[in-house]
Amino acid sequence: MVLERDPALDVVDMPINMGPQHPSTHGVFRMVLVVNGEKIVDLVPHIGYMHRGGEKLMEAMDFRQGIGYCDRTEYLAQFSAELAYCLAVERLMDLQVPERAEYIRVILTEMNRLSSHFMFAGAFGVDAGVFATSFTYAFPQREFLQEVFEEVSGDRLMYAYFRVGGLAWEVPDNFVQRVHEVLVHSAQGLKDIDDLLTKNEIFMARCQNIGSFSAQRAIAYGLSGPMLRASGVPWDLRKDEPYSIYDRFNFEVPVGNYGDVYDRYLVRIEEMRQSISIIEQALEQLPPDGPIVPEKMPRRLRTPPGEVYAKVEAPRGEWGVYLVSKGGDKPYRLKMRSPSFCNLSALREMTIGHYLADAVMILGSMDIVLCDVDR
Amino acid sequence: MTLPEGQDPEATSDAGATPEAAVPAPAAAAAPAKPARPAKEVEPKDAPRVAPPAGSINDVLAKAAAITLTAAYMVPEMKGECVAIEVARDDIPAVMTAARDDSRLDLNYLRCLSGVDWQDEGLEVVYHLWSISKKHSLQVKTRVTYEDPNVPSIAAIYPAADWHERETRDMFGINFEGHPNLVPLLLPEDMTDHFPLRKDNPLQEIEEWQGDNLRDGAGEGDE
Amino acid sequence: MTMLLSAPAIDMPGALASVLGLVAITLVMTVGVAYATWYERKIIARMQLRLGPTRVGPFGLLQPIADMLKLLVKEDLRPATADPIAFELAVFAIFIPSFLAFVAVPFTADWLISPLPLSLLYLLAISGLSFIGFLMAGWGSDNKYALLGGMRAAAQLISYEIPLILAMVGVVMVTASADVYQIILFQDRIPLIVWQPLGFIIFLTASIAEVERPPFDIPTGESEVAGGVFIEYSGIRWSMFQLSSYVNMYVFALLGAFVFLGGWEWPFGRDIGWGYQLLLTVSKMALFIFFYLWIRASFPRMRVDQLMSYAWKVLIPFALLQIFLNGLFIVYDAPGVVLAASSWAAAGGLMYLAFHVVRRGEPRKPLQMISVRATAVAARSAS
Repeated sequence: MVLERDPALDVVDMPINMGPQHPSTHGVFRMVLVVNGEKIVDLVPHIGYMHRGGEKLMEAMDFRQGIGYCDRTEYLAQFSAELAYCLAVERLMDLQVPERAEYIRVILTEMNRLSSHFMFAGAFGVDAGVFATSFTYAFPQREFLQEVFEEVSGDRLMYAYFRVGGLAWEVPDNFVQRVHEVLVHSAQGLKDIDDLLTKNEIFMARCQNIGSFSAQRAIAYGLSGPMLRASGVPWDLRKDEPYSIYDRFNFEVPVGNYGDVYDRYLVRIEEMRQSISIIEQALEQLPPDGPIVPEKMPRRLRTPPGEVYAKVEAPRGEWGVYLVSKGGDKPYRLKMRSPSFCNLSALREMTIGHYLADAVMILGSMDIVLCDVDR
Repeated sequence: MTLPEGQDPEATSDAGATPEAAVPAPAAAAAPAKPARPAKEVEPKDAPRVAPPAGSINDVLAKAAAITLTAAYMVPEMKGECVAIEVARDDIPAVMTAARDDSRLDLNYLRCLSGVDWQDEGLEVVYHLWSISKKHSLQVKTRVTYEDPNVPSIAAIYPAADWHERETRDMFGINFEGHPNLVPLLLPEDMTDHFPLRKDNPLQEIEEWQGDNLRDGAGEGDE
Repeated sequence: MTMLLSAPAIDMPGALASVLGLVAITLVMTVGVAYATWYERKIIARMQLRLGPTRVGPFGLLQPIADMLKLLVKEDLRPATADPIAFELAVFAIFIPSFLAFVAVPFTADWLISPLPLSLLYLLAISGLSFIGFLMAGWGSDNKYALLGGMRAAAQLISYEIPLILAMVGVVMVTASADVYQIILFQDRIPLIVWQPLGFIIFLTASIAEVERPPFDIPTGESEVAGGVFIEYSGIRWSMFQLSSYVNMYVFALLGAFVFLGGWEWPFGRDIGWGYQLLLTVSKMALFIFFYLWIRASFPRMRVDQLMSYAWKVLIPFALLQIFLNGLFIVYDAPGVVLAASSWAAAGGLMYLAFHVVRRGEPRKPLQMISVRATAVAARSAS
């Protein structure tokens, strides 16, 4: 879309380079904007600053080592990434994960969704121009969640706690009680952010009817997760292709009507409530004890030759792993289908015609993780 | 050592069936995808290939796209299995258009697009398709050779393929013909002659420092 | 302008006195502004569940001194391609007018550098000069973000000058004087906010825009233009920009305190001694500044088109409405109650309309919630 201009005025479009060092590009993302005044005429995204050849590296790692690399790729939703990878290997090896391990996986993954969405809410408020208040509301909550993760896995960020077939080790004794405590905090923090942003007139004015994407375009661009649901496609892997034990919980999938930035925000906020509900159900059903790895767990992980595409509903969308094995203990080829990458590819079409300030909001609403985009 | 050598080079999948080797099935396909099943003769180490049941998605697709599938078989999914088809690379646009537009298929969502380097058997492009309304999936595969790594682009059919194709071009050197903007995406702009994810780029083996892999003398010189 | 400035200054007992006064004000204000940053950091920190500065001195009270030292010794950079004259002089083009405003500010009944018969006009005029500095900085930095910021600043300052002045015209109509001193004296029993609530709201909104505080910090928006005009400045020049921005905030807070809250006059009268008067002035000013900070901590930034439409489609028509109401009041010699009531009603209308003009849309449908019911049951097994 090219804006009409008055030939009498000798107006020249101005290219502006935004990033890789810019406060609101969420990492080292660079976009070259062509603006006419403040209106965006064209946008060229440049990614790859964080490309580390992760897929190649993982070909040299055996199946256990690869789990750690998943953390480093999707560093805000580590458990989701680990889960997708483990599910892929388990499917190839035909391993049955014990009940208790499944429940703990679900609890941690959903808590991870909470912490990731808290990060989104904080950063998105800052993108909108709130002077860090949303950040300071959201970050203590994320910190509480991370404390539990640290107690469980021993690390604050790079958990590497899931294993093929189950979990690395048993959770601490007071795990259930700690999760209950943290959920209380999370619910309160969620309310705080809701009060601060959701009904704020300026926030609504900034978000509504910005970056709207129809359901058809969203599907064509392969958007997933909250981006797709905000566009009105009721598609959630937890609902449509339930993996792990997601078919045992009652929850609701929020679906937007307008596909704009505001709907994406609302969908994420609502998802956090649903996550809390899922965690509570999972805690209720959690077997008090039991194995956390299969009884007939092979000592060395070797898959038969084959291929599998495993995917989970990560906070940002479908985090998929296409695993090709020729047998042996390493992947022959491993493709990480990251939702950030696919969502970001629609940025150009979403942004053109909007104002410069909206580009920041649209990018913020995608909630990208740059490591995950570049891999 | 290079990674491929560490594995059994013989243990290749029969997917290597080159287009010539594949027996083209009659397009009318009364019988369900009988085509190309040289799989039987392949070494037992390989993943066994199961033909999809009659009336599966592959038949519908072959009819809708009016092409001949090189092969069709079941591949595992997370739960259950899905159909994978192999097609000649020139048929890719027809297959994709049919997959997207045919109301019985309605595979409107391109999930993933990956390249796989099968070394002696050339390069493979794998398309993962999914139907949001019908909730079924399909894998489409096509093979090209190193000498002629050209595949028709489907970026016009699935906009989602745009970046995936650029990435695959970066990593495998597969040239997607007709792509609107096939410049390096993840790699530097001038890095157009080196394809890091091909198997001829060796990776140094990662040493294990834990568990039963801890070799004697591995830590020599440390103290 | 020169005449207004110079004539009374020469008439005064000594021109030296006013120069000395201005120097004193500049020094006091520099320290005062430094402590405004402390106030700001403490207040906003409490609003954000933080503590703010605590390490340097008791309650972090020496933090501003440490900040100042750091800013003074930082290297003063100028980009090689910048326009040297515009770049270097832009700071002064903003800094000098903002301090010159204090010439006409009556801190107490006796503390006034120069009594001007049109001091309200003088204050508005001198504070409107700073946009030239923003343009110079934006152009001279040779940076596209700075240019965008400078253009935004110019557009914003000029647009919001109009409702600001129109709100003040309403005040002048009621008080029949354009001298801030006289306006303060007018409010010996009832502050003008009671008579002119609509004007007060317009003034408050426009003054936030004039000092470029959130939600109108569009020229410097950190997440969009990454500092805007300040992007290429560092060290002492950057701190002078910040200083003038805070001084501007002081000036508008003082103006608001004098014109709408009765300054040192209301509620205790002019005979309570200069100490109390100063205290009254400063606390009313602090109230305004607190309001600015409160807004800053809780509101997102507006977009540039919303900003413009808010000024031209909402604030200016309502400012004209206030003038019209005041005109009726004067012509028909209506009782004051009528004026107050009409203005309050109009203020309510403004509030109502503001929400609808900013948002400009029909009510949105809420999210659809798709229920997912468990299809499998937990095998309550355990070992």
